[in-house]
Amino acid sequence: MLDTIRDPVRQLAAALAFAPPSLAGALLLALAALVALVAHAIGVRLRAPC
Amino acid sequence: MNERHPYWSALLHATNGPTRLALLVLALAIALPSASFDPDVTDILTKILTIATIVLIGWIAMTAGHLAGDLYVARASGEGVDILVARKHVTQVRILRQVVDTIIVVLTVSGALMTFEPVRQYGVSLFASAGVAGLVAGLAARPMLSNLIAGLQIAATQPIRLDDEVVVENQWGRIEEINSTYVVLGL
Repeated sequence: MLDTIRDPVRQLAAALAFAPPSLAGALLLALAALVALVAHAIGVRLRAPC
Repeated sequence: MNERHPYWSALLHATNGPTRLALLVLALAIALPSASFDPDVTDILTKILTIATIVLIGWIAMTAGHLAGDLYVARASGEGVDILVARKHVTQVRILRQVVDTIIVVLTVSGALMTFEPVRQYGVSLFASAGVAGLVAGLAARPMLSNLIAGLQIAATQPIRLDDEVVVENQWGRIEEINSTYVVLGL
């Protein structure tokens, strides 16, 4: 299951190859953090009673 | 779920912060191997994520313990329960909670420190010379440990409970707080 998540991350990292490595890495981590926070926010909203 | 499983419902609500942090750590751990940082930077970030995971486990364990205690006290001091029995349960839960908190904090801090190689080596050498070091540490910590064990005895045997009225050295007072290592009297 982790591979199905990692594959798009690898593809995104390959797409960012034009940027300097440190900048591309920082961008990748920032995107991952953003996705995690959005997923959490959606989960909280779904769990909250209507 | 709120009515059928009050503990799990309250736990989900109370662990909102740790869950957010856990998701963040998981996402960063998945993305980190694909990020093309220097090996040194990757090592530092990996260590930070490891420490965050250890702190998260401690945080969730402490929250779960507090909630279990609260639920137990709420059930034990509900309607129709003898007030003396309720006070007994409240006293026991408060002291046990402090002991459990202390153990969790010590384990979490040690776990986090053990991720650093020099600290781990020191820990291994301490274990290797456990005889002498244990004796020294035991002697140094004797007053604290004896107070802690006395606190546990008070929780178990209940010679005093919260809100009991007592006379100490000709002073009348009320038990306001029973901690793991001391008792607070309101004079």
